[in-house]
Formats: sequence, C-alpha cells, structure tokens
Amino acid sequence: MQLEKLIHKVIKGDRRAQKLLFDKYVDRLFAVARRYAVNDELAEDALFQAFMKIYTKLPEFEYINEPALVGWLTRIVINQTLMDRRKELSTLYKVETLDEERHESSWIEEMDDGALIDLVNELPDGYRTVFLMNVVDGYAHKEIAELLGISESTSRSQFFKARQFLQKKLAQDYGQAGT
Amino acid sequence: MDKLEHRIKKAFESSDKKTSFAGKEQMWSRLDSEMHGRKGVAAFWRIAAVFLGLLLTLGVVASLNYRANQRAEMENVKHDITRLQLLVDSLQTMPTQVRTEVQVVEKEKVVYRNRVVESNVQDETIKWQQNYQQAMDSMQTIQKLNAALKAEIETLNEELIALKNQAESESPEPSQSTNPFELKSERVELGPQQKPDLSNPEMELKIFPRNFNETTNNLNKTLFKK
Repeated sequence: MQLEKLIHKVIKGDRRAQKLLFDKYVDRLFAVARRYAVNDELAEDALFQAFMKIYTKLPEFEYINEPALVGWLTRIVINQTLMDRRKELSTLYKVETLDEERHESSWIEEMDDGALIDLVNELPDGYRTVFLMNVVDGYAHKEIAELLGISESTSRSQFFKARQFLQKKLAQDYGQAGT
Repeated sequence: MDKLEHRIKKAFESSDKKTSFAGKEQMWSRLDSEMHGRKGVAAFWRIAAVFLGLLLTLGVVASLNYRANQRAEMENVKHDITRLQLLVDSLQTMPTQVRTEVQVVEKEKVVYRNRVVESNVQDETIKWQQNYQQAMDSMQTIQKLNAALKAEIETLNEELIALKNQAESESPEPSQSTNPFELKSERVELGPQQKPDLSNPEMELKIFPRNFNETTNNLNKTLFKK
C-alpha cells in the first residue's frame, strides 16, 4: 500500500491502516524515545503519548515524501520525551561560554557503532541531550533552546562541553583524541 | 570532530534501524482501546444527536398536526356559527309576535305579566267571516223590518183612503185637492182676547172644578184628572 494512501486511511479512522502505520514506525520511534528518555519505561510512556498525538495531528500533516514523514514523527516523539524531562533538564544547564576547539581524527571511521553509542551514552544527561538533538536529529541550537526551555548560548556551550567530554574520553580509551 | 559527529549519527541511525520494540503489541492494544474508547464516546454522542433530532422532528410534526386539527375545528365552529346565524335570520323573518303587556297593581305593588299571543292569519279570517255573517244577518233583519214597515204603510194608506172616502161621503163639498192636509196661506187676524163665554156650566165644571183653591196651576193635574 502506498504511504500516502495509508495516511489518508489513517486520517479517515481506518483501524487497520492505523495498525500498519504503527507497526511500520514504532521500532524506529521507540529507539528515538529511548535515546532521550532516562529509561525504557519512560520511553514507552513518551512513545504512547507521541502516537496519540500522531493520530490526532496527522490530518494537519502535509505529505511530501517518506523522509519528511519520518522527520515529522521523530520530532513529535522527541518533543513528547523532552516535555516530560523539561524541568529536570532545565536545572542541568548553566550559562557557560566555551571557545570552540576543532579536533579531527581519521580513526573515527573505523570505530564500532556500538562503541560510539556507548561513548555518547556516557555523556552527562544535559550534554547528551543537546548533543544528540544537534548531531543525530539535526535540531538547530535555537530549536533546542526552545524545546528545552534554555537559552541558545547555553545550548551551544552544552554542545561543546559534550564534544570536549567525548574527546577526553577518546583520548583516555584510545589515546588518539585530537590527532 | 565533524567526522566523529558524522560517525555518531550514522551509528545511531543504524542502531535505530536495528531496534525492535518488544512491547509493540501491548502498546497497540493500549492505543487501540484508547482510540476505540474515544470512538465509543463519539458514537454515543452521535446516537444521542440522532435521537434528539428524531425527537425534534416528531415534535415539529406533532405541532403541525395539532395546528391542522385546530384549524379544522375552527372551520367547524365557523360552519356552526353560519348555520345558527341562518336559523336566527329565518326565525326573525317569521310572522311578528304581538306582545300584550298586562299591568296588575296589587297593594301598590306593580306586577307585570307578559303574555305572548301569536297572531294567526286564520283566526283573523274566521273573525272576518263571522263579522260578515253577522252583517248579513243584520241586513236580513233590516230587510224583514223594512218589509213589515212597508206592509204597515200600505195598510195605513188603505185605512187613510177609507177614511178619506168616508170623509168625502160625509162632507157636502168635496174638496178640490186630493191632499187632506194641504196648507193654505191664510192670514187670520185675531182680535183682542176676550173672556170665553161659558154657556155650558158642565164644561166649566170640568175645567175648573168647584172649590178650586189651589194657588199653583197644575195643568196636567187639571187636564188628566177624571
């Protein structure tokens, strides 16, 4: 079934189409939710609320292509997950400014996906959220600031701190950071 | 560092693709029940709205029927009014009634008695016939009386003729005129009134009886007393 027709049927309230849409994207969206949630249980709750919003707001969505739909779904899930953590996250951030440092390394390409994910997951919660939103999900600092209820400069500083943390970690574990 | 970020992104994307959500069916049943529940509520309101609409329609139909019945009843009443008006008019055109009012006064108290006498044309006719009959009877009586009078006149005439004949036969000079009561214009000159000469003493006695002492002169008594 074409995705556009599927969406049309979901909007009309077709139960079967709703199930198809759910099955198609639930795994991916659960991964997104788990990325921002503290644990799997909270991720599930956020995902449930996000799907309720998806079915409600789908008539407002203008279908262009599948990546656009995935992006729209992902944003809803992230927003829902962060909404539950907004108060908690806002206390984590302090207004700090950092000088940007750029370090490039060629060995990164050879690193294992799991090792990279574990490395990111070692980041403090505040750093990790901003870093993931910016790097993985493509949010600008302005959007991150709006979503998390912080200033744009704080978002930037958190991002660079996350970078510094990762560099230090890589230097410790692999002795190749900054090379 | 850009390379690291790019690698991290790729790592997460591939990880997302590999992720499988274990509680998929449970979550779907939760979602389904939630949405089905909402649909149930919506269905209830839909049914309620249909029911209310039906009630409203029935109400409108009932009111229209009631109005139509009222109109029909009004028409019937108007028809009855017209019929009664015609009846009243016909009664008004009937022969006039004569109302006789009799006033009776009893111990300074006025009591009115109304008696309605219906005038009857037949009674009037009978009355006229009776009057006519009475008039005819009176006419016959008058005719009879007239005939009797005529007969008496004839008899008297005959007697008169007989007396006349007798008188003619007794008198030496027959009268020239046929009318015995013919008046003649004759001037009589009377001389001065003289004391009557009563040569016959019996006559004097009759008129003025002896010992006539009355001061008043009652002629009737004098004349008709025997």
